[in-house]
Amino acid sequence: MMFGKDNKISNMQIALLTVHTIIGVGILSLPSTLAETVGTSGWISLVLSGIIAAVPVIMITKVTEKYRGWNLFEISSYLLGKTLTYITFTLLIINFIGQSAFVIRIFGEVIKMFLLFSTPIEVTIVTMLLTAVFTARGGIETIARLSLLVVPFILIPTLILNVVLIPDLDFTNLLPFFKNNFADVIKSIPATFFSFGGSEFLLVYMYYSKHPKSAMKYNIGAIVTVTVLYLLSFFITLARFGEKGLGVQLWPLLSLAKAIQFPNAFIENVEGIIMAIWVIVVFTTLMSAIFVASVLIRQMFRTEESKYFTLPLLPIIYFFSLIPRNVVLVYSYMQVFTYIFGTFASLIYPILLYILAVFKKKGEAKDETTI
Amino acid sequence: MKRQFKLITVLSTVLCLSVLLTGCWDLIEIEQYFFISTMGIDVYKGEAHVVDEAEKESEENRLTEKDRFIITYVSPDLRTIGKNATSENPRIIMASVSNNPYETTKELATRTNRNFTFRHTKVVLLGEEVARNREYMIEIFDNLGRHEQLSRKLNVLVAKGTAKEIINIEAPYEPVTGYLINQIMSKKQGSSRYNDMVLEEILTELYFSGNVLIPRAIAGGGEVKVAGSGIIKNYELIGWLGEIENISAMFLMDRVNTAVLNIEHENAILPYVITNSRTKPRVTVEDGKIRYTVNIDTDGYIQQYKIEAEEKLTEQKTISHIEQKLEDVLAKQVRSTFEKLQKEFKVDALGVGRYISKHNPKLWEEVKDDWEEIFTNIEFEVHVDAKLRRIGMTK
Repeated sequence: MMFGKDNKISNMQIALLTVHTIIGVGILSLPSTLAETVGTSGWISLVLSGIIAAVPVIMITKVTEKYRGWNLFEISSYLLGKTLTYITFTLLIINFIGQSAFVIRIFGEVIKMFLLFSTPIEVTIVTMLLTAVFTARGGIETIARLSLLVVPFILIPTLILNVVLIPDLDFTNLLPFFKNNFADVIKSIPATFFSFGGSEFLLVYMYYSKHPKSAMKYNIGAIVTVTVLYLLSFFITLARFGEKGLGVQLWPLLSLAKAIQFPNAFIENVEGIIMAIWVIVVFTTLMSAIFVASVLIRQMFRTEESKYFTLPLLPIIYFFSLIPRNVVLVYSYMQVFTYIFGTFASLIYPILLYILAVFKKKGEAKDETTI
Repeated sequence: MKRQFKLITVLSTVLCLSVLLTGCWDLIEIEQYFFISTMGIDVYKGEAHVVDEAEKESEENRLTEKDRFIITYVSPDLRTIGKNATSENPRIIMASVSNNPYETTKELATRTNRNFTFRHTKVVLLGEEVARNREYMIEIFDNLGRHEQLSRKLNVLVAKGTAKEIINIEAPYEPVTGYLINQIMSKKQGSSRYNDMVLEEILTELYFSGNVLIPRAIAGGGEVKVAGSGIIKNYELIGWLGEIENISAMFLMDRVNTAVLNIEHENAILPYVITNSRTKPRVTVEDGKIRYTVNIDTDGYIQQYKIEAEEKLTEQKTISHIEQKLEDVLAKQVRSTFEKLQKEFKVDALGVGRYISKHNPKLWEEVKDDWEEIFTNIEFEVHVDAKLRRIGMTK
């Protein structure tokens, strides 16, 4: 490893990495999906989904704490048996590759639409993938440090833009706060829940934790942070566009950028800034997905280094990302994909592991020094 | 062997870099752009057009729809900027007939030498006849919301007459129509005689009900005037609000920053300058009848009275008296505008329905299906609380 001796990261870094992983391209379309399906009570749907998403996170943390020092493959084969582990790992890897492909395709579409009109989308995708692959090669410490490093670059401009936006917001658009459509809210939860997809990454990250015992509050904190950020983006876009206006947007956060105007400033269009922030957000999601996929492959083949597996993932992700014919199909394919693989990875698999871990007699945890 | 391998690596890296580092593929230099500041849309009725000569040859294999609009673009001429300006003319006007505003760019591309960008577009002007056609309006507003380059802070105005008339005026203050109108509407010491809604706000209302008050532009006397509003009902222009009516409408929508109200007192005209105004609507239901109550609070000062007046402005009694008159005048004005929209045009362009849907969702569920009908029968009440805060420099 280039830096750091023990290949371990702190719980704080794990939480941050999880936040970065979960928030990706989903946040772009989430507010409008909510406004369209449940209107102003979308926040209830978000809060409920956040609570549901916390359940697998708690379970993952418990399981990985119990078997600390074991990597996921060891835990899984101890609890599920070898054959099932190979199957589940294949499903997980497909899930991560599919997610990366989705993220990179939406990224390419947005960049093509707003910034680079004549650059082929393939070039945008490959360039971004190469960068992400390169970062993922660096290992867990590199991506953990990077995800901390980019925080100010995301936070400061976002705060400034929000302050500028405040006078234009009409908070009466948030009313009625409680709409009488609880049935719709329940129906919207599956779709909303997948915006929280990414908690399964913790299965891999937790192995690298310095102090797995105290990880719980950090991991819960990560889910809470994501929920709060989603709520903020929902409230701000709703206040700006109104319920009906928000429902018709494809990517309301980008439309929001077009509605920001600095008072008396030389900058007329701030989309550039928003796009720059968003590129970082997408990048962190992408590098985590590639890293985790490569780690899983490494564990499956029981080799020493996972970095050799990152580059071969590139053509696969690239191929899958270009399958849908248009941006509408990207979303409908992704929906089907997440309903199958997403449910498995972020709900069924953690719950399965947890239940088995509870009932199985505790295996002897390896001494941490022997890793 | 190892050295050879290293050499190959270095060489291939350099080769790759030469491909990747040759610069941005999307690079267009700033002087190669036309920054379209204004877009005017008028209905094309087959009349002779400036560019018709060049377009005369008709094509048989044309599959797309026929030309429907005359589109006019205005762009500032960047060549006039700087020390060694190579052009005298501060603006460039381009016009063409085409099916939709963006086909025009390709049509104009056959005659112009630069690229078009809509990122800095300030104003879209719709001709009156375009606005009176529902089909055109739903297409154009969908486009304005969908277009990825247009700012959502755009000013959309309906022109009384044609958009082209307005664009052809070279106003003495600012020749580029888009900048002129945008600056008129966004300046600080503005007026409530015009409607300062931007695209974003107009779209919000349109998505909700299809009804909105849209700012109006008038051409006349070599100047462009932005005043009054066009009344859009179900995406269709059905009438106008005049300048003074527009002030009342702005009061009803709580968009007043400054306004001047004249009242008569002791045979003198007192201009009451409003410095601050808040409007709070309320909806109540009494015996199955919906009552829409509007409370208007204004702060302001008196700028003119008369010398040797009998009732001195320094007395509280006079002030209360004037305040009372102000309240009556404003209430009357606001009421007449509301009733004009309610009874004459039968259109809820002031967002009453949107207000109910937000603050009384239960009621809205009941009435939303026949809202157009119910709106014409709701009771309207207005309470004005005018506060005269200051009286100027003399007693």
